[in-house]
Amino acid sequence: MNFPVVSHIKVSLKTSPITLDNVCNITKERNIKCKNYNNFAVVKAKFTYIIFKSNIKAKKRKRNNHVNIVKIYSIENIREAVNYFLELFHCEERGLTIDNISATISNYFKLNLDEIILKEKYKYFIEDFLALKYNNQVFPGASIKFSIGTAVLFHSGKINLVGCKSLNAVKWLTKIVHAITSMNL
Amino acid sequence: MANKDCSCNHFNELIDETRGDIVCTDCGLVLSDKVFINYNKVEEEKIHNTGNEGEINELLERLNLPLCFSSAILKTYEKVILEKKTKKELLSYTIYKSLNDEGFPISLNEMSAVSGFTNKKLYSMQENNKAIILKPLQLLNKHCKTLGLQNDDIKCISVILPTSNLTGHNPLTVIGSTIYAYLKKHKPNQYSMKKIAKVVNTSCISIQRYLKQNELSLGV
Repeated sequence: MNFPVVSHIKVSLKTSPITLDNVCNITKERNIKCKNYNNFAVVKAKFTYIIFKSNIKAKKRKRNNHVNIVKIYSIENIREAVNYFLELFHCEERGLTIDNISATISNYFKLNLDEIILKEKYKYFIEDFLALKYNNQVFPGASIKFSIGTAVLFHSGKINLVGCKSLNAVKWLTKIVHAITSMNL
Repeated sequence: MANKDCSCNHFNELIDETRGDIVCTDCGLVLSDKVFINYNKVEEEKIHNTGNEGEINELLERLNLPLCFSSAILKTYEKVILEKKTKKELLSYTIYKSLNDEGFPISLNEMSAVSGFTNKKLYSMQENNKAIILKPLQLLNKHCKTLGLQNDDIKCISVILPTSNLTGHNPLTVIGSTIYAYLKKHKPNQYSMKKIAKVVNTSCISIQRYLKQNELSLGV
């Protein structure tokens, strides 16, 4: 069984309030790329941070800044990305969630998607299965949606896993996908 | 021409559509011999009166398919309308889906050409839980006939056509490439790659890419 390789992680971070002007000033001092938009700012360092304006109408205690952190390529780097941000902008962490983990599996055999779909092998996992979408004239991959994530299968044997919220979800989805594709042999 | 001496009042008239005459049924006199009826208007009225069915019939005629599918397509469309918001491209997508389900497949490119909606818009109507698989063998006969190939050639092409699509190429590309490979070997200079690509509704680059990857299997 081929193990999945995590390709990308997106994380949401809640922090104590920071103003976007402050963000621009600090990044300018430290020579870090920063682009300011109307309601958010994008900071590009080792990782990319998208900092949104805080909710002014919320009460002081509940006033948080929402930050999306992208271009994280492994689970170990999440803490590094968060700590870098907190140190750079002198704020405290108020919440952290993993929004999406993308991973790829490279099989060494080709997949017959027509057979997998016509024989409905994915329906063995009825509890987890949600939807299947495939049109071989538009996109060569078949996307099978499960409750824990989506698997996009290609004829070359490569499989993309998207929408997983944890490593356990990635592992479980890998097992499901291997079960489906091994029935094809 | 009416006769001045005839005492009949000619209340009862009959229109003879075959000759274009108006004849009095009482005295048998031909009252007028220049009658023209606009049949196109009558047919147009019929089509407009039926609404959705009329649109379905029109699209089927453009696809050169018989109208016997229209009732099944209409039933499917009426179910779908209840579930989804109506969009203009929904009817075209329903026709495309129903024909594929009924075993008379058409390609998305054909539907797009006939309905005026792009492939992207038609594909956006596809349900999240739906798979539409077009097999190259299902459309081979149609495209070969359009090119004017003989039955023997069609049989030979169907033998070398891949049974399962393990490359992920568009089925139209597979058909076009197989036809081109066969004609290049057995009847060179009959049709150019450009002509075959145009008939099959694919591009020359796609055919070239496919042939490069599958030289051995097609015997090129």
